[in-house]
Amino acid sequence: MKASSSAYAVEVEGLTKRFKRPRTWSHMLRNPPLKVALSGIDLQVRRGEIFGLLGPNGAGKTTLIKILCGLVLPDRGRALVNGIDVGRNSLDVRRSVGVVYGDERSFFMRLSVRENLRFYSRLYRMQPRVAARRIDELLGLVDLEDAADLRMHYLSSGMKQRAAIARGLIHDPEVLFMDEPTRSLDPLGAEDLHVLIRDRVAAGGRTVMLATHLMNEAEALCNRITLIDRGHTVHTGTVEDFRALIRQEVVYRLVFTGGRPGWERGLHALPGVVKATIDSEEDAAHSIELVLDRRTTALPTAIRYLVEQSGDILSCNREELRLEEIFRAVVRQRRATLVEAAQ
Amino acid sequence: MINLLLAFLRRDWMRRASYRLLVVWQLVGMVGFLTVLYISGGALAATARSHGLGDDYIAFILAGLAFTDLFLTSMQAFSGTVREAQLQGTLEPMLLAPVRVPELVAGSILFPFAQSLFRTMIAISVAFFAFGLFHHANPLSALLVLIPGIITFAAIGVLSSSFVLAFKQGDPVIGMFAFVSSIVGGSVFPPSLLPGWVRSVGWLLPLTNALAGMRMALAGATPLQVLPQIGAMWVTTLVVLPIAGFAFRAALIHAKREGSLVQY
Repeated sequence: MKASSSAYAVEVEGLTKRFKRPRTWSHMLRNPPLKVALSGIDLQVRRGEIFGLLGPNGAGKTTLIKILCGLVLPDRGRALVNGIDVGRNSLDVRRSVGVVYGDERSFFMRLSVRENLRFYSRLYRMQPRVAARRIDELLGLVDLEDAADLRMHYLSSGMKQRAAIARGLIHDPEVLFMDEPTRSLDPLGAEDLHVLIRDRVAAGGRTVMLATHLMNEAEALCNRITLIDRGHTVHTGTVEDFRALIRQEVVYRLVFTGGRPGWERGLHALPGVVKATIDSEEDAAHSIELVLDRRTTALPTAIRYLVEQSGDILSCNREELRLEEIFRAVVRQRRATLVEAAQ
Repeated sequence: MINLLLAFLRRDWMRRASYRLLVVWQLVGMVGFLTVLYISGGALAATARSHGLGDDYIAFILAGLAFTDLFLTSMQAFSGTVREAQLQGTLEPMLLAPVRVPELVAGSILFPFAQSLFRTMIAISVAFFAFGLFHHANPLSALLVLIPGIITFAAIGVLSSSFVLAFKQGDPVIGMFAFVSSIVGGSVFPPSLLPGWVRSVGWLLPLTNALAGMRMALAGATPLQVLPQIGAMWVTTLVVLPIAGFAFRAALIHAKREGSLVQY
């Protein structure tokens, strides 16, 4: 993997793409309806991060990835990969990126995994000896040594996906684009693939850009996420940033025993405590739902206070909104804003 | 470049060899064709003689069929490969690799061309050993005819694949070209038997010049004697090649704009 001097692995400015979608014979000749795939997308992917492109089906994720590797031309805007302008020098871009599709059909099914990898290694001008070593190394990386000489059509979906990862890494690219890599996998297979991506594929500082509509996938893998909806960037940030976006509070559930009489009143009065709901149990244990302002450091203050009240804290757990809930909330918020604006 | 071309050759050979029954049937078909030709050769020659087509009709038809196959394969192989890759979903991964279009064309036609060349060599060998034909052939002249012929037909194939890339189906180039060429190009009967104006159209087609040049070379013509045919083919090449290159580039850009590379 050769490091490029650019600060970002991927930079996108004002990327816009509309597709003609003729529906009738007259549309074939003039004015076909246009479908907006991307509208003024801006984003920057830092070197070495796993970056998620998150969005519902049809949001524009695949189009963006295809533009970044030169398979689709944008109408407007600029895309740089490893500092190279995709529109001007797509050949150099293609040398430095790898792509993993969720589409199982992208292999020569009558050939073995090894033969497929050998063919693609030649397309990347790898010398036969170097390629042979690299193929063995990659087959080990994706745990396909035992299936290396099986024809592709004998492989399960999970194995094909692993082979696709090996193919994407054959030339040791700096940036790897992954387009819904777990699309056809069962939950266990998807989980295995997540481990592979996190622990092996992204190891060594490789930048991974992952398009997915699965919240758990983005949450499990990505350092940062861009949420795309109907071709627009809704928000970019960490999962934490997304949580903060829709909710300024953070919720903790504590189990507490003992405490001097009246400790409840003091808890409510602590700075940063938005709300404290206390359920007292028969065995003298109290279950406290503590809603705190995300911007303050109210948790240590609350814990210190409870300990000072001569009580014991048996457990303390943070209750988070799942990314799925955040995703729904953010998308609904945005769509509602758009409807209002249109009215 | 050599490694790249060998990779295409190896890939296509392994894919073909994986269909064992197909390989067997292709060999059986070839042996069958040659057997029929051998058995009916004498009768065909006698019939041809009685119709005033001369003694060498067998040579005429053998060279016609063998080289028509070779030239048309050069033409059809690339668009066939593009179409197959669209259907199999392998077009995008290949276009993602840093491979230039001429390399992709050369790599894609290599195996079908090698297959066709093998068939042609077998047919010519049978003609040589079994029928005693082509004993005065001039290999240099044949090579000089073959090279521009293959380049021209490959360029027409690239033009045809532009339609496949842009419109997926309904390519007018190969079907029309193969049909017209097989009638007026002199594959199975001499263009001299055709009406004057049809003959004139025929000479505009590369197949007519390629087959005429090849037949002359097999009959022993020197490079100088086949120069008009070679010249005509190079002129065609110089006209078709840039048009094909431009059309393919335009089709690729069109498909990338439409996002339709993977559609079929």
